[in-house]
Amino acid sequence: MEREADLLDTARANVDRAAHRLGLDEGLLEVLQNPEREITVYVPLVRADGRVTVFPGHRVQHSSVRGPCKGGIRYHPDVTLEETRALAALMTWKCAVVNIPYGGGKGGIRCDPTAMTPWELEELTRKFTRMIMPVIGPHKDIPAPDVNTSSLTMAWIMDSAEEVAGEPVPGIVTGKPVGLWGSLGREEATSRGLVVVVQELMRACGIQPREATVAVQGFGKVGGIAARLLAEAGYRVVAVSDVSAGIFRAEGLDIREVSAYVRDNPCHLLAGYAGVGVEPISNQDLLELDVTVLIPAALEHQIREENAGRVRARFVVEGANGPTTTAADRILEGKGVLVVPDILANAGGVVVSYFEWVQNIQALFWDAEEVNARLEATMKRALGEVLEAGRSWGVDLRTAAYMLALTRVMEAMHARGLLPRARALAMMGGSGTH
Amino acid sequence: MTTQVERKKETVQEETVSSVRALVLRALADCARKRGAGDAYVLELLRQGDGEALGYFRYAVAREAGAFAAQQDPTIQDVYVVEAGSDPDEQPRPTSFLTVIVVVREVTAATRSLWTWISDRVTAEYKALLDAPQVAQMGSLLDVHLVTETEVQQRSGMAVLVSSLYTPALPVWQRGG
Repeated sequence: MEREADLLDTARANVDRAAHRLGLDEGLLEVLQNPEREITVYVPLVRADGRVTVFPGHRVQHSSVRGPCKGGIRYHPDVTLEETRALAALMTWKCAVVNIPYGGGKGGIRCDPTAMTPWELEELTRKFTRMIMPVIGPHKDIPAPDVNTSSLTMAWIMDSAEEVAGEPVPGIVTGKPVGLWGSLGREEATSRGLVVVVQELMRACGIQPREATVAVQGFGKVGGIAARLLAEAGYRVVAVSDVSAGIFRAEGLDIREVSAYVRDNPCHLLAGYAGVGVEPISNQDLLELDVTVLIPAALEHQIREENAGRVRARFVVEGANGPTTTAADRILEGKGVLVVPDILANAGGVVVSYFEWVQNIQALFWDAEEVNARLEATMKRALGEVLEAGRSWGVDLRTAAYMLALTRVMEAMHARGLLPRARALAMMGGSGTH
Repeated sequence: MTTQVERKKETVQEETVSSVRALVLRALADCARKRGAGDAYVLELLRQGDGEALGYFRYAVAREAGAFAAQQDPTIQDVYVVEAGSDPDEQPRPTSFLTVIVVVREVTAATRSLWTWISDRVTAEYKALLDAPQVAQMGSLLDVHLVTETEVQQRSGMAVLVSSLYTPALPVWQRGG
């Protein structure tokens, strides 16, 4: 309940603020806040011990006006329709911000994957796929991995869908194994997208890489790779942290050495790393370092009302989802800290999912260089558009990103004749077209 | 008299140590059941670093450890596990730790001490079970974080994972659950 309330509050607050700035009336806002379609299925499964269990599953399609719905499928005991709705809406805005031709979707099955055998999980996935087949497809709705699902889960979905369709449909899911129509470059996509955002931001502000200092909270798949790529690009990464420890060196850390240490030590953690001149730092102190760029790439709600006033970074680039609370956002804005919102900064993953789908429907395979080059171009363009939107509307980048996303969705609705004509024209005249 | 008390203490410690050994063996059996195989076969899979078997085994260890700790300490409310890393395809390795979040009414020295002891014993049993050079060097199998119910409500620190939208922890043991 806590999770749902928090999610809905934050997601609705961002959309409400953007809608208010765009001058949308209640009726239009209601259209944007509600999904187009949602399906709930009850999947019966004969368990390994002979019992029958019924698992509720959902697929929510928030919007398809800009293209097929896109979003993950998660397996978790707390999956609810309410939460799935909110996550589906977030996918609509994320895809619209980076201007890829997708709407938003999300799905999930309420189950405890730790209590199920591998065969039960496979059978559950296959049955769920068959039950939602009428609403998914390469040109309707394209699931992807999410919490407790993986490339293997996607392979099962694709295989089950092909049994029903009687023909290959690789584009029905993304996040597949590379050997089964998956895309190269997916593993590093979120980090690479994040790094492009940092580099473009610095370029736009006239800051040379060697002049910029960077602190990264979270040295895992996103933060660790981002720190390495930034260091390779000449940025001075002065602090990194993970769940075990934080390390700081004012002259810059040797990220290659730190990465090798994490890779080679038995726990794969930062704890115990001891380079020359390296000092320990707490996760909390890292967030308050006087650096050019702070990248929170670990957990949600790390920059909060209590510590936002002590953040000294000039730029916060959100690698994690939801690292800044709404109250903290206002404090950072008041201090003049530029926050690049998660909806844009960590969108590299969904962009490469889009590339996987493009390759699948064309039966083409791009090499990693091509995937990375296209990702860079997409993220550069998206950041430029959000910066421009922020300037022209005179709002913070989170509000700008949502306003841009809403505008794009409304433009598509207008073009399809789904909006009252006068209202749509007024909306687009008032906002400018991006 | 002192000798009697010490002997009793030693007996209790021995019983507790054997309880931890039993919980690790129950976890192995649970993993074997899920894989539809025998304990010996699954043990070999664990030694070889089979990610799926390691995943099931570690969850079962956390569940058993949670139940064991909660028997000793009534302030423990829920136990959750979190897989480190954001890559859904990242499989655990024999030396990977498992993040365990223990929700308590309040964090006391006794609860801390209990979990330190459990974590040390479980790790020792795990090392003995796998009997592999790479595992012998690892730190702890369980990376335990004690959080209060208030922290869960405030969504602060590691407690945010209990109600996280994007990386929600998995409940493995709940009081009354």
